[in-house]
Amino acid sequence: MILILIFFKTSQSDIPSGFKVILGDPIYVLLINCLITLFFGGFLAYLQMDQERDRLKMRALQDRRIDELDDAVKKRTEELNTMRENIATDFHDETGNMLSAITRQATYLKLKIQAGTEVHKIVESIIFNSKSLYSSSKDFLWHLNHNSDDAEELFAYLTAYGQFYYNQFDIAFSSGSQMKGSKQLPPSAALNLIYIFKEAMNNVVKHSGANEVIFKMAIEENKIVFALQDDGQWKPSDDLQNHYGLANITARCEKNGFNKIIVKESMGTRLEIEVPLKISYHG
Amino acid sequence: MKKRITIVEDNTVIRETFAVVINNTVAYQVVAHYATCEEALKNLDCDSPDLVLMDIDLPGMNGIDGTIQIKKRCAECIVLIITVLEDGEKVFRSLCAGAGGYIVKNSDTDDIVRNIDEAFNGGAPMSLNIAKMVVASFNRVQNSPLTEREKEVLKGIAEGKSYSKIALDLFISKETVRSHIKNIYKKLEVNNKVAALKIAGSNRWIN
Repeated sequence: MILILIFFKTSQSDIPSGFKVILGDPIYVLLINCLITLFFGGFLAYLQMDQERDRLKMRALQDRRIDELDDAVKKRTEELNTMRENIATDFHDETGNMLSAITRQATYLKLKIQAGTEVHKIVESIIFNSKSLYSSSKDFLWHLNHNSDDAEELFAYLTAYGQFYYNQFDIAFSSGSQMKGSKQLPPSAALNLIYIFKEAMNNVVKHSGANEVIFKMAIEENKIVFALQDDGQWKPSDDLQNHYGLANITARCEKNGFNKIIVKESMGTRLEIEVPLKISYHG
Repeated sequence: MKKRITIVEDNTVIRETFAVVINNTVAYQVVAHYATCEEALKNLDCDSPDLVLMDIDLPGMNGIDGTIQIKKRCAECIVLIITVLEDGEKVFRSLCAGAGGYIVKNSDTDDIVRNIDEAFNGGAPMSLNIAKMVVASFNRVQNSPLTEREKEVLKGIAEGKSYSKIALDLFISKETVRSHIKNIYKKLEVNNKVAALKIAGSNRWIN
């Protein structure tokens, strides 16, 4: 259309004859114009097509690379999962049996040795250490093999431990959570919380004389609160700090950025551990 | 008269030291111990045990199949699983196969004897994770064979309550809680046989 308009205007206009000599006939001008337009148009279209082809090539390359990376990540994850499962199986088949064998042999030795002697104490210490190693290996394996950063999973694990532990005594144990939905704990928080509450549960039995223990979990602004409540009468003359094995608990809290609160009530004591959901680590 | 016990465990140290612990008691004696189920089954009639302590992972026939064979030939015989980890899938499958409970291999001497006492007197231990699997197993069938009280006990365990807490909440004794657990184990075995038959029937494996 534009070219026809130019042609029409050119043929109608009063161009000086000097220009007509230089430019020639309007049809000739139109043809030249058309050729130039076609040439550049075609060139531009070619460039665009070329760019589009390169872009598609690049996209295909990127997609292939992403797929490769996806596959590699999937393969690695599978390898890690298999490795975790193997570690758990190995523990069950090898380490667990070996530790059980040590405990059983030491127990046999204990039966053969007179109580109160120095050797008897050493054998008792071997049994204690073997059982401790067995217990901490189980905690570590659980941490490795489960979604241990999920607060709900950790709460269930500690509840199961509390149930098993207090079943050995005449202590009523129950648990309750006011949390809805899963919350992600900071890395390595779970293992430390396991050690903290195992120690606390143990100390309640040793020192509080409680009949009932309740383990609770609740969510408050940007923090999860785990609490162990007992109805025991801790001896007033005793240092509560020592009862809870608080040196260890305090150290773990400080290292992991947890906040520890002990509430003494008329009907027992409550140990609260607050875990901020965003934590800065020290050490 | 002492109760007769046999042990099936491939780890020699564990097998022999378990035997020492049991032979040291007034109430029990180990009449034989074996490294494989096959040997134990071969001598089952002559050993005539009241209780069998059974490992799960064994060379040849595993402890789950071994439990089924023993219960088939000697229904009154109690099978207690000895295990490293007490709440695994394999332990649950052993319970479905007819085992009356389990003992953790690393237990104290007192705990081992207490668990055997409990198995004879009714009420083997049940952990939270096992209770959850048991609940799921009974949920598979339409008409649950459990009584209301047994359901309440099972629910309490699955929620993480200790036996004392369940007894307190239900106004019953700890011993009654244990006897309910024993009944749940028995019904679990029957229930799984029924479930297995139903599945087999629906797949036209049996007529």
